Amino acid sequence: MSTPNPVHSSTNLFRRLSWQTSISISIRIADGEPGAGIGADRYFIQTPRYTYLPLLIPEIRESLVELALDDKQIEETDEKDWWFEEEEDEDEAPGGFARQGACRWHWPIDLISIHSYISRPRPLPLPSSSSSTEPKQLKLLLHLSKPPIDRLLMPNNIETCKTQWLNQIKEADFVRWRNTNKVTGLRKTELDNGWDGIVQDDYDAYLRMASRVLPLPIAPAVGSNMTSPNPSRPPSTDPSGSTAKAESAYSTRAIPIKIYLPDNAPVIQEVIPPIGTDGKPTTLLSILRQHLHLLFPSRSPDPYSLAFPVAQGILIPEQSEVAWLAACMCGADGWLRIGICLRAQ
Amino acid sequence: MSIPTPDLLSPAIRPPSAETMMANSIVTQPTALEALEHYKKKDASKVVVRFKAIGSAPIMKNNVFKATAGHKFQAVILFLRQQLGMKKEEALFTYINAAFAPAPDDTVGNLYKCFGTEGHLIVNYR
Repeated sequence: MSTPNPVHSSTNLFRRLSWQTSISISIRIADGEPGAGIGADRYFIQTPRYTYLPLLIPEIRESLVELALDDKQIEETDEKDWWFEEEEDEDEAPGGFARQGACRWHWPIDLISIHSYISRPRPLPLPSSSSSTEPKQLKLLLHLSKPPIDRLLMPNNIETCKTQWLNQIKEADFVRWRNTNKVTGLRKTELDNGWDGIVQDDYDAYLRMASRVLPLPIAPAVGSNMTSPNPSRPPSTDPSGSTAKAESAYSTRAIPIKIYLPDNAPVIQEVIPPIGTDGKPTTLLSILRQHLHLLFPSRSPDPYSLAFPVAQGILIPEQSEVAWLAACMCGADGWLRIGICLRAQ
Repeated sequence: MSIPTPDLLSPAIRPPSAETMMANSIVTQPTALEALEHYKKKDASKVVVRFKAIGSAPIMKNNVFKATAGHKFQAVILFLRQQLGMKKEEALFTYINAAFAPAPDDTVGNLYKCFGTEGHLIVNYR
């Protein structure tokens, strides 16, 4: 009887946890729109982090818009003109940064939530405290007309959403290997499994695609200097049943990672190798110190004295290896997204 | 976007590193807010973009241009549409290294940093 490979098991555990983590969203019809201001103009939804706003529109239509609007208004409204915007939270004290405004269609809910979270300085979330990193709801306004095209950049239909997702998968693949062979080598059914998994909240379907594309945090192939306490086993003992050859996350050319700062600062995307020049796995702190030196100064005894990184809704420990994070906690489009929150003293 | 580049391609000039700038201007450690202000600055340096037609797409007489690193890729798409004289309803597909279409809000600078080859960013179109 073969014992499950511990690396495969823990990878699967964290991937599943990331998949299952959800965001609480409240949606209110914006003032001035038909249906606004009446009793039924607000809807609450719990969504996975990996999904997209266009995929939520059918439920929002059925459970909010069709209840708040009368028949004539429903006839006159067109979903392609709908758009969402983050609402100012009146319960929160003033002192936040610029809000994200209109929510982009190709951003996973995780990214919309990151921007909401980092939009104000916060105290360091402690593992022992009862409140999680994100105690608050994401509050969105639904507009039914005049979408700001220059901000939204694309229509909100599902085909466009799927295309954007697939392009992100390919871009991440290109970052890892300098080609998109793993993605273009997928059979159509495998690709469809990935998207269907996202649409239907089916982790196993999604994994059938993802396991062919995502590397594992296993030791690189024999011949490298990397030693690992968890020597990799042949794929046939992989409990997930995948027969594809498992690639090592430490053999990639670079890690698909994007880092987001508050106040509409530019996104940080750099070539980040999984192993540093010292032969050791690249840690999150090392890249924060390299690329955001002013927020993560080298000489500070407390690495998170000025700011701290969050991903998938939790604080990330500074010694986490980015290759591991990207293999185990990336979004359903293959990207590891890190939000940088300024620390409130 | 500016006038076409001369024959001798020059690599995109990178702005001075954060460390150099801070060392020159401030002795004590800056606060987080000051740091954020620094990181908010848009990258004004130029990236060389080389457009390459795919399939039966029209080939441009001059296909090398400079784009501002801090601009979103959407600006490149709009510029290309203008150069090709495309109508609003006509579709244009763009790819990096003939491999993937970037998100329209990815910055030119980031795309160049991560996917640039031989001093320029290859943008394929059809």
